[in-house]
Amino acid sequence: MVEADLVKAGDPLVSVERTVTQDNIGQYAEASGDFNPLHLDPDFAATTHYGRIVAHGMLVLAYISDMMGRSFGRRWPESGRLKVRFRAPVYPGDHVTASGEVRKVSSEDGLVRIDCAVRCIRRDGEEVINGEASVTMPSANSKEHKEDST
Amino acid sequence: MTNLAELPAGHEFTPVERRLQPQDVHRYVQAVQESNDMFQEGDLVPPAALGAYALGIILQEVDLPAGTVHAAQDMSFSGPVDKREIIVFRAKVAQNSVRGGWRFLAIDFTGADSRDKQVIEGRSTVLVPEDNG
Repeated sequence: MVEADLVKAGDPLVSVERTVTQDNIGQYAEASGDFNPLHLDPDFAATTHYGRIVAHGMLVLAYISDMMGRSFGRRWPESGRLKVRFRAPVYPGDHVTASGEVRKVSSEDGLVRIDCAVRCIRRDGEEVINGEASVTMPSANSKEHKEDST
Repeated sequence: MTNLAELPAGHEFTPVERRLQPQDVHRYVQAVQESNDMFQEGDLVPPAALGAYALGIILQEVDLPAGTVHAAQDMSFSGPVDKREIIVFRAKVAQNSVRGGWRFLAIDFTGADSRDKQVIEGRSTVLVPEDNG
């Protein structure tokens, strides 16, 4: 796990690259219960202003969650916060990169809060999701950190 | 299903209990190509999966037309959550207003585990073309 006291503003997160497939979208619909035909029915999707099938926003957002887990380990499910906007659609076959960097590190009462800027970008350069994410970790000198380490 | 125009801010949906199953979580992990071992091989649920489940439950309650756009998402996690956990999801309308031909619908949700510890809270904001609302 990353040491909170070694993290500094400007540090990059562990980026994640994925290609979105129609199979992924179908699996996501089954897993989440979101069967909106915009994601599943090409004939219906052709009648919308998108003109074709669009991936679920929450599917693409999961790439940012993946990146935060790779960057901060269990601190992500234990203390993560995420606030994003969906800016543009992702279509089957699109290649998406989730990336981010540390914006601010602040300490209080033995805890270190790490604030990050995060985003997903399509291969054509369009930003499809952007926002902020954070985790809270014990400082290396804190009692909680020493108990975690033993 | 509830008609959008009949959902005032403050409206609370009936709580929904979801018993997680490892195979269901595995399906999510496959769908999103999750790469962390703690979620792929371990016993933990990817935190964003909890948000996906919450949104899925909301979609069963609200009649959102197909032209709906998912505009924003906030989530805070206080896990970790085991793949066999039971989660009770609660949701409430935070905003339901019309502006510029679009209905802005924001729904706050929480999820609590079997010890009644809150493991997720969040807000989903969707834009609905008003002629459908």
